[in-house]
This record gives sequence, structure tokens and C-alpha cells, in this order.
Amino acid sequence: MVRYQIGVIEGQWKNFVPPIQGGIFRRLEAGCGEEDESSGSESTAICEDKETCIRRRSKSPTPNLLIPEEISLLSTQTEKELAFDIAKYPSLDAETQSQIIESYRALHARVHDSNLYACPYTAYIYEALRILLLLSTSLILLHTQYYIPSALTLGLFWTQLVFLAHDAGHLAITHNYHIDTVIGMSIASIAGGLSLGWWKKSHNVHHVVTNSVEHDPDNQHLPILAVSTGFLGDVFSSYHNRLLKFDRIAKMLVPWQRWSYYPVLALGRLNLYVQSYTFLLQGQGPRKGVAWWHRYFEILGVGIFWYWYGHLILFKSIPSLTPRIAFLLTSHLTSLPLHIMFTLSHFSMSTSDLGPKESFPQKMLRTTMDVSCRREWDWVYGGLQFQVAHHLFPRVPRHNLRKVQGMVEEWAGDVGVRYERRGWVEGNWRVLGSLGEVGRLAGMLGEVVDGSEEKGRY
Amino acid sequence: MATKLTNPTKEAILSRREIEHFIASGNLIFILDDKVIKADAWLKYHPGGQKPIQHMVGRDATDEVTAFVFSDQPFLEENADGLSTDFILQRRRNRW
Repeated sequence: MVRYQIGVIEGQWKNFVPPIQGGIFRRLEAGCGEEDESSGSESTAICEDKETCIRRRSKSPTPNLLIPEEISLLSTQTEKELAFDIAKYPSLDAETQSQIIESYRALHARVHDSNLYACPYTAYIYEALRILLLLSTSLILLHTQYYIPSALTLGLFWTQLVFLAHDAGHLAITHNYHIDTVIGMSIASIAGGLSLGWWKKSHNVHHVVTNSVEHDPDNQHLPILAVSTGFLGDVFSSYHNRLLKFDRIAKMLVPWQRWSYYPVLALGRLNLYVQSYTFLLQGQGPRKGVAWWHRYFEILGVGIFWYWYGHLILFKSIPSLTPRIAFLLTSHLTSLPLHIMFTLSHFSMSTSDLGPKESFPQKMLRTTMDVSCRREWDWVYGGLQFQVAHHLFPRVPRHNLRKVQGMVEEWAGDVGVRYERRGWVEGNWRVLGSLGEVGRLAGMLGEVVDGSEEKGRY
Repeated sequence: MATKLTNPTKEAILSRREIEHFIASGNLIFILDDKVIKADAWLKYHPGGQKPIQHMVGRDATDEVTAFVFSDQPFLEENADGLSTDFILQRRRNRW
């Protein structure tokens, strides 16, 4: 990193809004050098007040297709949510935020000193045994022609493997980049037919700009779901580099999202194939550096997957078409609980952007919640129940997260940032409630549009 | 002024205004501890992708880098001359 150092700063740094998030940066023009500097550093703070920042955020780079009534309805809602967060969370002034940062770093030092970065490998022996048991059960059931139970068990086998691939993707097993990445890619592509490279590309962004409407790919599911009212206008996705239109299809589907949520999640795995193969075929991954060969490894892995799953199981082991389709659907739909877990920790949490003054740890606590779970069920939730601790310390091995969770909860209380933990059922209700509320607003927008169509807008 | 901007040294003290100018000129610059890091050349080699770095431009990325990046990740060994979690934590402790 030192090689790329071009200087040092003095004093405390005031964050800019990055260009990718719409920040505006001024060049030093000849003749207005030093003099401009003092005033510059005051006025440059692009997001000095939250107002400017939020305005910028709600402004999409292309002409907004919404009519004024819709815009005022949406901006009232966005402002309401924002005011709620500002009231609920510590002040954004530099002193408060740097205290939070300092205590977060002290907490990190404690996590580190408590040896919680050391992976408890014995836990993975149990993981491996569990996974092998599921696979062999599935194969025995297949062999004895119990196709549906076999497909169910195979789905559970994939679910357990996903937890393992998640650990590996975060380098949270051996902490060696090459070893963990090969473990993760093998699981994802050979056993699951998916690309770990695709997942890492989007997941890294998710961890940096968690729950952001414009920037977090895990939040962007138009035209099927709108997680927040922020999506009820046209949003430019910096991840996909395109406008996510709240178009006619979205206007039809989003009002029903409370009901379509689970069916959509049940088909989640199909979406992952599409995303993975687009990523691999277009070569969206790193082409240079240590990871250049991952693409070819994963394409080969996906080929092996379709050989064993498509040819050997579906085609060779199952005699006719109907049980084949039943097996395919059952094994894929079994991933529903997993996909619920993916969304549970974020979908009912805030999507507001508090601007560049908010510290990393506060943002993680504000956008992420834990799911309560008894210790003996930890393996069922696969570590995804400890999302807050995981977001604060993504490289900490999964089986240490229960300990970290305790430390995080205590720390959050000390530092005065809300820490959320809900039961699985309550969490689901919250997500449904939040989706329902956004859906209701989406329905209202539809009505506004219908009313204004006579004005000749379309 | 012009020489300072076009040919900075590692220890040069840069003002916020100057850093703004660099970013306005298209450079990818973030802050790590008190260091000013220009990540342009590194962007294509970053195994974690380009977007996470773009989201750090103009910001103090110390906590994000510490949270996500490992000391023994090979791209750091090769390119980063000794940035490590231990190192960062140790240094912070000294500062406190």
C-alpha cells in the first residue's frame, strides 16, 4: 500500500462524497490556488449539511419519469424515514462519530486479542460430516427411487455448502487468499453450479455500501420487489450501471410484493444461475493479478456440475420426465429458507443514506440486524444469524461469531448505537410489514398515475 | 504549487483542497490512517473488484480496509509493503 502513497494528511479527515455516489469535485484552477484553499476546504464539504446530500441522492441522473404529485409523496416518505434514523441514532457531528470509530477500533483490538480470528477447525470437521451425511443420504434415496426425499436432501446439502462458501468467500477459514478462494470456488461451481467470483463481486459492494438504494446490489430487485420507497422512482444503480426504472411492470408487481416475496425467494436459485453465468461468460471478474484464472476454473467447475447434476442424476438416474421435473423443482425450491436468511437481516432495516459523515460501524449497525437463535441451532442458520458482528468484522470465522456477538452487543450499548436482534418469525413479519408498506405506496402511485394519464402524460 | 501536484512525494502534506483537485482530475484517492493512497494503478489488480474502491474515493477508508483486507493476502504482500491488520492495530494502540 505504501507504494501507492502520494502524501499524508494532517488532522482529522472530512469525508467527501465519492464520485460514484454523485460527489462533485473542483479542480484547482490557475490563479486561485492557496487563497482558495481555506475557503475551499470549508465549502467543498459537499455534504456539509444532510439536506444537500439527500437532494443529490434523490435526484436521478436522467430525467425523472415521475409526476410532481408522486415525487412529493415519495420525498415525504424518504424524509420521514431519514428523520426517524437521525432521531434514533447518535449525532453525525465529527466528535460523536470519531468517538464511535475509536471505540470500534478498540473493540476490534479486543476481538483480535481474544484470538477470535483463529479458525476453530474442529467445527469444520462437524460441518464436513454433516454435509457428507446429507449428500450420501440423498444418493441412497435416489438409488432407492425416493426421488422427492432425495431432492429435498440434496437441497439441504446445497444450503449447508452455501454457508461454507460464504465463509470461504470472506477468507474466514484459513485466512489464506488462495486456499480459501479455491475451497469457495470448488463448492460454488462444482457442487453448486454457481460462481463464487460473481458472488464476491457483488457481495463486497454490499458490505461497503450496505442497504444503499442506489449502490447495494443486494437491495436492487426491480421490477419484482421494491425493498424501500427509494425504489418507487427511477433509481440509477451504480452497481449495474443502469437506470432501474419503476416501469409499468414494476407498478403492476410491486403492490403485490408482500405476497410474491416468498414465491420469488423460492426461485432465488434460478436467478443465481443467470447472474453467475453472465458474470463468467462476459468475464466481468478480475482479468489481471492473482485472480485472473478464477474465471476458467469456475467455467470448468460449472461444466462438472451440470455433468453430475444434469446428466448423472437428472438424466441417468431418474427414468422419466415427470419425476425429473419434480426432482429439479424440489431440489431448487428447498433453498427457500436460505434465501429468506439472506434477506432477513437487511430488508427491514434502514435504507436511508446519512451521508459521508456517518462512520462505518454506525452504518453497519443501522442497516443490519441479528436473528436470535439458540446455540444448538447455529448450524441451521449457518452463521447468517450473526450479521451485525459479521458486517463489523467480516473476516472473523463463522464459529467465533457467537462470542463476537456478545462483545458487539455490549459495545453497542456502551457507545449508544442501537443494536437490533429479532426472532426468526418476528423478523419475517417485519420484512413482510415493510414490503407491504412499500407495496401500498406503490399502489397509490399507480392510482396517481392513472388519474394523471388523462392529462396526456404517456 | 504545480510541481507539488504533479510530482508529489510520499511524505508531502496534502490539503483537503489539493486532494479534491486530484480526485477532480480523475484520480482514485482515499485515506488510510494519515496516508493519502492513490489506487489507480492498483484498481485492475484488486481481487475484490473495482466498485468497493470507487466507493472509498475521497473517504477515510481505514476501517473498511482493516475490516476486509487480510495481511497475508498475496496482492498485499506483493504490492503493499507490509500493511497488515496486526500492524494497523499495533500502531493504533500506540497512538491511543
